[in-house]
Amino acid sequence: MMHTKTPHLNSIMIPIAIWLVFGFAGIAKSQGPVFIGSPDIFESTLTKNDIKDIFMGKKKKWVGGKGITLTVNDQTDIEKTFTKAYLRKTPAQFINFWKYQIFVGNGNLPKFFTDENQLIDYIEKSEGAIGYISSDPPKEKKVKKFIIAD
Amino acid sequence: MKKILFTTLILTLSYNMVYALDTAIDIHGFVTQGFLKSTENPFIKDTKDGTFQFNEMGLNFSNQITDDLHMGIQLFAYDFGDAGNDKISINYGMASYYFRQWLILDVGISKVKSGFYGDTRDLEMIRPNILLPMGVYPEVYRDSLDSAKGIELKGSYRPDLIDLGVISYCFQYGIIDISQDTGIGKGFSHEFHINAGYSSADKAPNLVLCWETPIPGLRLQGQYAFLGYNLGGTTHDDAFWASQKTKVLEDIEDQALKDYLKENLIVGNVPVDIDGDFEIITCGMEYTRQNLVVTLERSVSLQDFDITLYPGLKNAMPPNPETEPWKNTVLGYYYMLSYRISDWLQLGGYYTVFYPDTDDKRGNHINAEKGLPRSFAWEKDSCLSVRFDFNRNSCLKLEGHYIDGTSQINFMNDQDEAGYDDINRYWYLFAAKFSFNF
Repeated sequence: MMHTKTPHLNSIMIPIAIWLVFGFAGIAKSQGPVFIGSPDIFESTLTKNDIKDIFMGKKKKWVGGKGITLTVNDQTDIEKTFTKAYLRKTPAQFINFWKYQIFVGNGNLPKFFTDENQLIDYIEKSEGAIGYISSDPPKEKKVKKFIIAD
Repeated sequence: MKKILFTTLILTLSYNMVYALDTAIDIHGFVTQGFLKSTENPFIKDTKDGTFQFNEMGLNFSNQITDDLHMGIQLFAYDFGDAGNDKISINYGMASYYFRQWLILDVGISKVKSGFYGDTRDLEMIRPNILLPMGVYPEVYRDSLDSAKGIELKGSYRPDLIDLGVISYCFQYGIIDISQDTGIGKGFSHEFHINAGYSSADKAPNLVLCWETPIPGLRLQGQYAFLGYNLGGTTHDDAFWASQKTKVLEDIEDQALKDYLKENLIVGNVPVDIDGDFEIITCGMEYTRQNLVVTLERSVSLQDFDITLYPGLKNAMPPNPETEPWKNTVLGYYYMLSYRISDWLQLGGYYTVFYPDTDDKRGNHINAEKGLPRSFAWEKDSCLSVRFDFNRNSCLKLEGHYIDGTSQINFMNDQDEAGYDDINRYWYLFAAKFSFNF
């Protein structure tokens, strides 16, 4: 009886082990984005709702009254991850949303960057700017990394 | 010539904008060119032969003056058969002051909020379909209800303690320019057989409440708008007013007086004044799940007017004016679905219904009283569209409509009775449109 059970157990355990190794690796790879802001921003922690309100143009000022400058990381993978996880939109819906805003007079278009380093440089040098990147920013960059709370 | 200059200006700025991204003023614009072809009935002028009189162009300039103050202006021109004719107007021009997330004040000319998508009518690039569902967004009202001059309060609120989603509002109060040459003016002139001499609207309140529910992707919206309207001119000397005269005489019991009035009462080419209001109530639901968007929306317009006729008498002092109340309820709704298959391909479709008079959905009254084909009492439009995105800045859309009913074509074409014999209940409409924006 044992002879019949052991191979059966292995046939279950091996795929599970594979999934644990590669599945978690996949999850870890798809985690993110990392939210960064200009060093002059007072807030250190933002909720997911804050992120949604900011990137959907509802919240336009930081706690101290400084205006929020939006940047968008226009690299396909990270943009897709960000819009899906935080805004529940596709990148196309997100772009259309902002086109709607500018053509009905509800504000300016966020600044789009296809180069993540340029985005980090812009946020470092700007006031009240926020954006998202695919991994932690370089240590030499004076940008704030936000803690994201539920 | 204006059209060429305006298009050139947009394209030039589009080119130069690449070198001016870091300037303080944001510049954006769009150009669209469409083609319409209908079978059986003219949707707008010349669509039976196919027409290119179906385009838009817009150019806006905006600036975040301070952290609180934003200003912007958009020039706009469009052509839609006899409407628009590429005349440049201000689509919006306003200053927006941000007090709090829940309180933003806009002053100036702003786009009129109307249902989920009313203010996107000019913005071809952001929706899957070419024509908005006409049950709730009749094309005939386009030139009347696009922009308003006045103030707008808006904002959104997200409760902290409990997850109720987001509640947002928009309250507009201002003047809408409704001249006798706009769709509403033409519609009323057509309805009451009038040569309009004046047309004006009162200051109109418009309130929109939207709830982005805690259920991801689901939002509900309600709207209430009130619009006082006055139109006047002279009556046509035609069968319509002759029949009104006959109705009035039927109620007179004194035969001698009846005979006298039949001979001497004049109701053609006399002054008439129509004064009253519209109440518009719209509610809807939109559900988005990844690439799928489903929308249901319904709109009711209650029309309550007094019609004052100033009749004449042959060789005598005119009698006192007669005022008759006129009430009507317009109903429209639609079901819409769109799905984005890939970055370059999106499919969409909707079914929309429009009744210009809910008491006459089968057209019995319109047929018996006005001699119009019954199909003028409804319009049921089934639409399928496909959108091809070349890149983020340009797309092509193709669209087909199968339409049962003709209730909206009479306003659009100033259709006279002589042409009614050529009207068919069932007909097709095809549309194609290129759209470019930056």
